[in-house]
Amino acid sequence: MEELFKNPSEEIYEIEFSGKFIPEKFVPIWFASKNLLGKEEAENTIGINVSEGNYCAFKTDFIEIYVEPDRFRILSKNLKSYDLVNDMAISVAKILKDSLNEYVSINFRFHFSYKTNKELTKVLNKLISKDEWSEIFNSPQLLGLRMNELFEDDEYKGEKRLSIFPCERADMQNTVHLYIKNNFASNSPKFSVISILEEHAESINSNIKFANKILKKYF
Amino acid sequence: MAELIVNKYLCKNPYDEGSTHDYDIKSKSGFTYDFKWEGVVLQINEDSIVSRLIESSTNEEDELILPLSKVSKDDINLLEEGALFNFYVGYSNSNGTIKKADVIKFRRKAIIQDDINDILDSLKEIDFDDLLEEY
Repeated sequence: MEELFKNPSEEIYEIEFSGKFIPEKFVPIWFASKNLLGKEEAENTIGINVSEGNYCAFKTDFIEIYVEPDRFRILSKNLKSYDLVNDMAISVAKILKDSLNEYVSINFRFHFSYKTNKELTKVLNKLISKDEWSEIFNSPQLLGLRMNELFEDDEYKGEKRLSIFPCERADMQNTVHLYIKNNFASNSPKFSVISILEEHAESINSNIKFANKILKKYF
Repeated sequence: MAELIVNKYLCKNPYDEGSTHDYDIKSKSGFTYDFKWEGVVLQINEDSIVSRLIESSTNEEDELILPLSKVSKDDINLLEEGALFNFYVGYSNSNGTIKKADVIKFRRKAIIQDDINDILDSLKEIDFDDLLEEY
């Protein structure tokens, strides 16, 4: 597996489905009944919280699951567990295929923290040429950047979206997000969420390489 | 004690502005890891398993004999030759008490009727008569 050029303060690998879900159904025991979690593992999940019709969320030592009526997310806060996220996502997609929209997203969320706000500001300001704005602002400061690239296949329309912006979380000081979202939406009746996930099971490497290009140049 | 944090310590999500909920689970207990090996079971003995492991960062390969007792009750039914597993080395935190720890976790995948049908279809395509004649 590729390694990030710079150590993040937090890293997330996430697969996100959209569709129609009954959140309260997706408690750990449901996953154990489908053999996707062990029985003891399901009993020892942390933070099982259910709000009827609203959300269900829990975590094991390796993955976290968040279900809302229109969104189903499986993630790990350690990139090394990307294979477990893939296994769970492919399995969930097979079991819930009739509940899923023809859309899936493979996301990477990185946080990079700096000692001072000045260092953070410097990173953000490197992202664009400030000179081009100097006629408009006296002292411009970049607050964030979003950029995307579209791609297409016989089966899907894809979008790679990059977002870089400061983190406002209270527990993270002087931190910037680097989010990479890979969206896949149906482009033909052949579209299958499962085959997209299987095809892109190792896309973690190309996404880390992509992130490294940004980190080397700007961070 | 774990808690579900709603709209606190959360990152605004720039590509989901319409989303009204986001959650994060914080916990003082659990297992964290820095090292992972991807393994395949080569042989199962009475009290050990022989496996081939690949370190996830360096891709260094090694063969390792692991005690069978390391396989959790949850995963014992998944143990078979050729089964894939991950071996993690890290720390367990039990209410603030931190200890070195390692965990074996077998890979799990749902098998649904469609998969079984695919396997049966593949089997149908094999000409067993020809194979038998050959041997």
